[in-house]
Amino acid sequence: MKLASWACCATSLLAGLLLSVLLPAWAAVPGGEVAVQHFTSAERQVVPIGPSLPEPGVLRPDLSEPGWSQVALPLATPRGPVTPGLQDQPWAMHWYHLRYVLPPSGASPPLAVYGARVLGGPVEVHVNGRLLLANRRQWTSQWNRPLFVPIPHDAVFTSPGIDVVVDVVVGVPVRAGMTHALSTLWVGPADEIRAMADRRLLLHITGPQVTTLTILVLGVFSFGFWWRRRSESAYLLFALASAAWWLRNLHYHIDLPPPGVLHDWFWWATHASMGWVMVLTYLFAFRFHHRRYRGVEALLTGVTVLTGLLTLPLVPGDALVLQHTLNAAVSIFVTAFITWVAVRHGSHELRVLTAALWICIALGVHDILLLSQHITPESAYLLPYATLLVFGAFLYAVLRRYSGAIAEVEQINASLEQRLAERTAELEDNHRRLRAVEREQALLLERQRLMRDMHDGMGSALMSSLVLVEQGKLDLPSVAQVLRECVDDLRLVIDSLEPIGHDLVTLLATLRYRLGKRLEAAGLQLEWQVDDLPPLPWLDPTAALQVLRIVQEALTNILKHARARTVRIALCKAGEHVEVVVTDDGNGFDVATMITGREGGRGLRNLRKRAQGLGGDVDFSSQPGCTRVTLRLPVLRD
Amino acid sequence: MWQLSVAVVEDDPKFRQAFAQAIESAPDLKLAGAAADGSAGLALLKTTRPDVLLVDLGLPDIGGIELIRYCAAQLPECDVMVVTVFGDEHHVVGSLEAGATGYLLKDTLPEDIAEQIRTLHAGGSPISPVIARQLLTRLAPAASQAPPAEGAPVLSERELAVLTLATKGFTYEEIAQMMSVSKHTVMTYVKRSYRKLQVNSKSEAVYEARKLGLLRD
Repeated sequence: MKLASWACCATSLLAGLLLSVLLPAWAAVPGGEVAVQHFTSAERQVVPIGPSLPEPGVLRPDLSEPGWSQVALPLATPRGPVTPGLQDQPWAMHWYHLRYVLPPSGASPPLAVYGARVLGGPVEVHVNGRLLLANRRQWTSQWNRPLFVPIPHDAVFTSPGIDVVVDVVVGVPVRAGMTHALSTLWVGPADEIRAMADRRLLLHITGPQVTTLTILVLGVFSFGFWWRRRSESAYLLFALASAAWWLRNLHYHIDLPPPGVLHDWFWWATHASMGWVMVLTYLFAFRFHHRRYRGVEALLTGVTVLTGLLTLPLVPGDALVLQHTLNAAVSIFVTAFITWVAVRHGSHELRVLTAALWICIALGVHDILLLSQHITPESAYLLPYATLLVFGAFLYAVLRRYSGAIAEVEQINASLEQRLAERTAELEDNHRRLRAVEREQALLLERQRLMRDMHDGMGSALMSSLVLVEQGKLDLPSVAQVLRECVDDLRLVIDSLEPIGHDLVTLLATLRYRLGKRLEAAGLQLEWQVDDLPPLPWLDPTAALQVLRIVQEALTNILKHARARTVRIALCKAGEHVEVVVTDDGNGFDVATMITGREGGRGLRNLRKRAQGLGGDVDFSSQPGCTRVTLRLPVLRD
Repeated sequence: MWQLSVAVVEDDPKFRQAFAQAIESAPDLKLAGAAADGSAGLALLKTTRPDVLLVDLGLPDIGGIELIRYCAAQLPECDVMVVTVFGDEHHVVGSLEAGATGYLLKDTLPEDIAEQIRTLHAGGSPISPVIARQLLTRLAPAASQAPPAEGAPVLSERELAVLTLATKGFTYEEIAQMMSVSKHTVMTYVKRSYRKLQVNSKSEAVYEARKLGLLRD
């Protein structure tokens, strides 16, 4: 968008520039009597000179001589495709005379002469018989420079009552067989004439200079880009094309060397580089499209090398027009090919580029016509401006591609984010499902544990009691005893399911809370001593129930057998274990015989088995007055 | 002689009778009435305005929790004692949140029932280690967890200390000794903690309702 508006701006600038030069300002003539006069015809006289050209001023125009005839301006004789060498042909002077007359006011403002171009020979200008300009040495620089000659005040004779007559004679010496051209001429007040000449200079020289330098800067930028990303050879081609274009237009920037070998080689280089500009431009277009057309590329390169060789200064004759015509033919062919590519499977960028290339070719053909003097020398060389259009199209393509790449990256990012979110949601969902399954599994295990527990414990106790009751073998206190034990056990099961956060202290505290009253009622004094213990990660409801049963069993044993008066329960940490120590001051028992014994031993062995099932152990030590049961449990379990 | 009036709401006739007998046999207690379901219990509360309510949670019509809420709102002087089989955390904490301050196990001996009613009315709420642990979790969450809802009550240092010791299984007497206060004071701390749990559950409900847009600020 930016680029488009910029291009639009440049185009309107160009159009304005052209209009201002090509439609000069008759309207700008002030209402006074001194006006700019535009000469579209002149009197011509051709004077043969001979094999050598005399110094300027030696030969002068004679208006009184016969042989003057009227010709229309602009005047141009077309050049052939190849100009043969004419070094030995005789010279002839072509005089063009025009008369500028001011009313007899007795005074004259400063005057000047201007013409867009004089081509073909070293121009000289005489005004009222005085030689004002002779461009013998640097005449080849006339190809693109306007003719501008200020007329000195004393060259104009003024007297009241007599018309002010200014006779301007432009002389162009030309060898026989050579062509020359002369644009229309303007005579008038020096200020206005100078302004016209300046505008012409701007269009011919300054404009191309600016465009060439702009393109060179873009080329440097492109080169820098390629330097960082060597794989993108299109940008190198762009840089090389801009460099070749700069070389092509070097004659806009520097003064030409004087005629001679250096001069010839200079011109050869600038003309030959036109071909390289084309080659590089087309290669760029292909690369940019990410396609290789090896045949077309080889043909292009071959033709360029060939024309470069054929136009070497060593080869006689001047094939300039032929060379550029060939260039035009090749570029029409290649551009047609690119157009075909663009229409078939080209991108928007390539189509814009193709349009710019066609405009370029049109203007290039115009320039060839101007060069070969087939059209008025008043026109200006337009290819530099057209090339700006092509490079603008390149820039547009690069920008579009760049912003397209950014958009693509953004889109990829967005889709990545979306996929990530989807994956996360999926994972969360899976996790949730897994958790649900785990929970179900845990519930199932819990239920199985409870079932087993009730089956083996309470269920069998109730069942056997029921049988006894039905047989009338169980008295009431015994029934109450059985039921009490069942309720106690049920209570243990309930307590093992309470949320205690793997805290052994709270677990045993619950037991104490339950049994406190009963111990008290039995006349036992309870000493309760707890340290802070770390949480036991393995202490789930199943393990908790085992711990509760072990400790309850130990207490029940004391209640039933020990005849103790005090019982002390202590919880402490011992290294990698926690210990629950139950001490009483009862009768005690012989540990060895109890463990191996049949009846009472079963209870103790049962305790040990349960503790070992938890990854711990139970120690017994007993003497009268001090019996100790130590339950040792690991802090961490595998 | 001034007597403590006690209302009983219990759908199981045997237990209802057992409670009624335990109350009537105590000279300082008076049975205000016994109801078998929630609506009768509500009527009983309205007409008699007892000092203590014994209520079972599993009533056939209106839930026991509803009755406790009514009592907490309309009869602030009435102490509510919930009757449970096991005194397990699930049942008791729900009742505490509704406004109960004590609980009674169904297998408690008759003479102990009267004693516990007296103690409760005197300000002595019982507490089990698991219940104490629940109170700590609700009212004094660890710093790493979410901060309490706005307006939620916070435990005082002493209350915190009492509850912490209770989780370790120490009795009121032991706690009182450790903290060098009377047993009565310890019980007061526990009762206050119960009240805070009730307030907390209310403010949590309000907070949740606000979040759901059911209530305006």
